[in-house]
Amino acid sequence: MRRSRRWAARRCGPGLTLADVPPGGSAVICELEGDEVLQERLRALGLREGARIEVVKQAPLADPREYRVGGVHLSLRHTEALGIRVGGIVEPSGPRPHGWGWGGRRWGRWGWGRRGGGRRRCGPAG
Amino acid sequence: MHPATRVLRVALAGNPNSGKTSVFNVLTGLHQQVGNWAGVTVERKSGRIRHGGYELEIIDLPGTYSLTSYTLEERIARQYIFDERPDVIVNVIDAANLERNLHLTVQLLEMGVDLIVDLNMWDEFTASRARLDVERFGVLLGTPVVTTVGHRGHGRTELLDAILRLAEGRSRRHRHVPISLGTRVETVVQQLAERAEQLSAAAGVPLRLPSRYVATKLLEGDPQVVEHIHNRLPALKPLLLEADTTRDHLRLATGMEPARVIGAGRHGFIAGLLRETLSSGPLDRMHRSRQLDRVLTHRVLGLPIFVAFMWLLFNATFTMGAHPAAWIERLVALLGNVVAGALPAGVLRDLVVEGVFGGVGAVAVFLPSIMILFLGIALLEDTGYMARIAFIMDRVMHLFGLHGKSFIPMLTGFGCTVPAILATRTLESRRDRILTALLVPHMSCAARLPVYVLLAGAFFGAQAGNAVMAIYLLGILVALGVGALFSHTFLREEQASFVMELPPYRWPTLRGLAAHTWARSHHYLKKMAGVILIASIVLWVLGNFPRSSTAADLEAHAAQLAARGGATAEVSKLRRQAAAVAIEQSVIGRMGRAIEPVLRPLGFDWRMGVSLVSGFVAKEVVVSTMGVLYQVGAAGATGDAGDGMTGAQAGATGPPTLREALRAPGGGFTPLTAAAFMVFVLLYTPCVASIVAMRRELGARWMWFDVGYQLALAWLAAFGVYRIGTMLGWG
Repeated sequence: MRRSRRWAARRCGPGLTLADVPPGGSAVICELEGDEVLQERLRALGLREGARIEVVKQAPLADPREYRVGGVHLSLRHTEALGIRVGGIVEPSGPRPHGWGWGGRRWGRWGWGRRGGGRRRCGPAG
Repeated sequence: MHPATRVLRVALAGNPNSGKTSVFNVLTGLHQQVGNWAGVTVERKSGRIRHGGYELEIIDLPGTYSLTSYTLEERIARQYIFDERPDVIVNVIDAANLERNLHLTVQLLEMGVDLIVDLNMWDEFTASRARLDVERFGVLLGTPVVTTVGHRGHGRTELLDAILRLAEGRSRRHRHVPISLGTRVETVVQQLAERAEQLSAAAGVPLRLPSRYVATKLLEGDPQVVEHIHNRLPALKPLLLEADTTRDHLRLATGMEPARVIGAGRHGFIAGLLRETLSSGPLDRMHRSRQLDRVLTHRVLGLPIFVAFMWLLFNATFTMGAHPAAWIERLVALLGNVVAGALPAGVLRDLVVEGVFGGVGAVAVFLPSIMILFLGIALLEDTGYMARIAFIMDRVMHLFGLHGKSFIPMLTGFGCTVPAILATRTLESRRDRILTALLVPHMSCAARLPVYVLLAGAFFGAQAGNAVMAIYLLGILVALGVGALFSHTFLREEQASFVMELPPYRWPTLRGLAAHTWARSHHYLKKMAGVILIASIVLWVLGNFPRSSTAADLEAHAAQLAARGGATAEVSKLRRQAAAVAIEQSVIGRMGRAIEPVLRPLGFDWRMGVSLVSGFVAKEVVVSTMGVLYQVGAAGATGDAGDGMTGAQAGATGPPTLREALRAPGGGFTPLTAAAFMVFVLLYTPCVASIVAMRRELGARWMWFDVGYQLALAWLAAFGVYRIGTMLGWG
């Protein structure tokens, strides 16, 4: 626990937030920002500094995304994910479970965009 | 000393999705009551049972993750524990998710309450490879620990026995363990706590709360506790100042907010507790849920599957519900006839048959649909799909300024506004409930369809279908606009976040479904029936009084004519005239006349006004009122034209249909006024039942606001349609 926190603090990238982590990837939370009520709620659900959070998937209409912390699955909107600073991002390994990044190949396996093409990770998606 | 007379108050506290409700159902069976917490629309469930010579009153506190004062649910739970001082609090914990659930347990322990920890969903825990030393777990927490499987009903007796043991002071496990918050915090908490005790002892006022708890909360800067001291314990005000200084020191020393330091301290306690008692194997309870979610919230398949489920729910509610509703209607009519036969003809009989039985019928007819809907909602909630609906639809509902879960009420609104407003209870934040309930009436309900069909059929010919479609779309667009407007103006303050747990999927149990459906339907009947009954009697009286002598003369004349074997056409014409005169002379008719100046700018005449006023009862009534008011004049015209025909022929031809009557030159309707009228019907108050539902859910203030803004909106929109249409020369 202690080790991972120190490690996370070291790796907390400048300006990287949870919204930058692609589906299938994971990251370590380094700081919660913004609204205190929201922070309290997130901590109660297990989103505390030093915890590893995994992006499970995004909703059909792209906006809320499903995350996993410990044994808890929860859903956060893009705006809320922007308030969670992360470090130590791990890209999805191998063929991505759903093959869909936050940006790049947005329309999925059968849709537009080339296989393996597109940006792997993009900045704050609009 | 008769223990049988003693009442024990037991409160259930726990996280959402911890199975608290299933434990509550197991404990109380069907002996539960659903109501609201005082002044707010958070569901309050309680039940009374007997066990071991005691009477237990069990209260289900709202599900919370924590006990701060940030959310309404947390404030309610905390307030109850503070003010009502339940004898025992049972903390229901999802055993498979100990770390997160213990967060609440620790806060309950800090409050110094008599606590029982109930490790629920114990079957899932034992099925995993994780092991918990329950004995030691209880020793370290200083509470009795029981294990239950809520949805199967296992562990009920053990839990009840533990409650009695604790209440009688026989529990050997029970002791108040101070939760260590780490050395740095610990010293300042102790200092503050001692100071609090000194101050309260000096002033001679009891603290009523553990001093340690007060100290911790003051360090956290909890606004509710600060306020409590300000208002009720003025002697302790110096403490606030000291707390502020200590907070500053702590902030400087740690570089963090004191609340977070304390939170970390609690987390440390939990981590230590679990390190000593839990040997964790990989516990992936979500595995099967993940597999299911691969399909159910799939990027492409998720939406169509969801639409299919909604189609099923919607159809079940309003198609399956239609059959029992028809039976009930027939039964009520039958009873009405029986009563009518037993009573002498007169005002009393009319009142009982039309007013009382009409009113009872109006309530009872809703019941099957509402029960099916509540069952459907219980099914969605108990399986865990409700959270996925919110997940899938959040993006869309966000456009309205709403939460994903608002989708169900909005969809239900197309069937009937009343259950839709009741369904807003599934939403967590009050702001979302208010906004959803305000927008639901714009989803055009089934009762408004007859009005559209009538007018569109009469005035838009081949385009009638498109016209009706356009009206429905207009309703959705208006809801979008109003939602955006409200959420950017006065409903902005508590813009709820979308932090929502996606619980694992579960099989619903019959017991759980039955308990949920029954409790809510019962609540509906009890709360709504009386008010709607009174409202329909009042409206009946307004529609029938004062009695018009002209109408009575006409009626008598018709009866005479019929007795003499006069022409059927003549008789029915007289009867229709009588009915029209009666309604025109009644209070509702006068109200229609009175509001005519207001409706004049919309191109409406007094008959439309009367129809709209009577539409407050229910929108179907608009059509029947129009039938009475319009057919009479036009019928006179055809009657005159058919003078040469024999009575039999005239009877066969009958009066003109309402459509023809509306189209007749004297009808006052043009295609443009028809469009304006349809828009008005779409947007103004749906019916008296929906007003009652609104009042029940949100209180009188919001009800008046709702009625006022709907009327204003309807008037403005109809005015816009009429004026712009006139300018474009469509009039």
